[in-house]
Amino acid sequence: MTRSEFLAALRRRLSHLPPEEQDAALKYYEEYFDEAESEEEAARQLGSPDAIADRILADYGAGRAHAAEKKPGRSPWFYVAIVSLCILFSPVILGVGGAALAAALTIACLFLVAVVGVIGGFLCAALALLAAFVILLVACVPAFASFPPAGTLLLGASLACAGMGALLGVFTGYLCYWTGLLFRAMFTCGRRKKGAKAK
Amino acid sequence: MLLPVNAAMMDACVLAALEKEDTYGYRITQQLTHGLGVSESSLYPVLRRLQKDGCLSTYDVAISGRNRRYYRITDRGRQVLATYRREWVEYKRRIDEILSPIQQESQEENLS
Repeated sequence: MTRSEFLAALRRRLSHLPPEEQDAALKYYEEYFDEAESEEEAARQLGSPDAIADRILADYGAGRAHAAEKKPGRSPWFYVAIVSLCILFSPVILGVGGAALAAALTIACLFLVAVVGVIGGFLCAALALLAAFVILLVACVPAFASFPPAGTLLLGASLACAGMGALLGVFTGYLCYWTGLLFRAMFTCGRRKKGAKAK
Repeated sequence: MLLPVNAAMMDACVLAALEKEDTYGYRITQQLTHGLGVSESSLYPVLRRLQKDGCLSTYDVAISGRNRRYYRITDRGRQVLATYRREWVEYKRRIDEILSPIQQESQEENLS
């Protein structure tokens, strides 16, 4: 087998390897031919290019398998780097974390204020109507005595106030109930999420 | 040789040869195949593996119109070689313990 035949056969058998692997192997065997006393002597010593290629392929596969086995474990330096970065950037992390916490608290407070405000507003309105009902009812008694039509008007207004007040009161009660349901739903939802994470 | 040389021994021998001096592929192949009785085709995979593991590095030297690739042992290669040397002493001691022939005096003691 001549030098060129040997090298061509070797290259053909190694064609599945990455280019740098092929080049390294070809370089070594080209050099072997160059250094040897004669082409025949080198070819005789080296033997079959197929056998040589098989050894290279087997060794490459074993090396790759070995590398793949090693891969999952992270070096301790990775963790050291992460911790150092955390310390180094702690002002930024604390700043961003603080801002996020502040924003979350603000939103929660606004929500609470809004809920309390709306419910409180309805409650106040209901109480005011109830008060108006009592005042008008008290006022209609002397009005009846002096001028009956005015008394009737005041009585009607008083009853209307009572009706609206009762309606608003009932509505406020429902509002409280719904808000309670909403808070409970949010709370249990959060707990369920936490529970799922813990698993 | 009757007793075969395994892959770890090949690594150790290549590193030991490179510790003495930088050398090129054909030369180290000739040295070790004659010294160890292994085939010429077995040296390249060893050199390539050691290079990938960082135990040796290569550099090219222009010689009579072409490049000759030289191999040089790295610090990591020296560490690995030191480990192989310790292992070899231990291995030899254990095998000797089992293989060494019975001493003349103790044979006589047994007879009397």
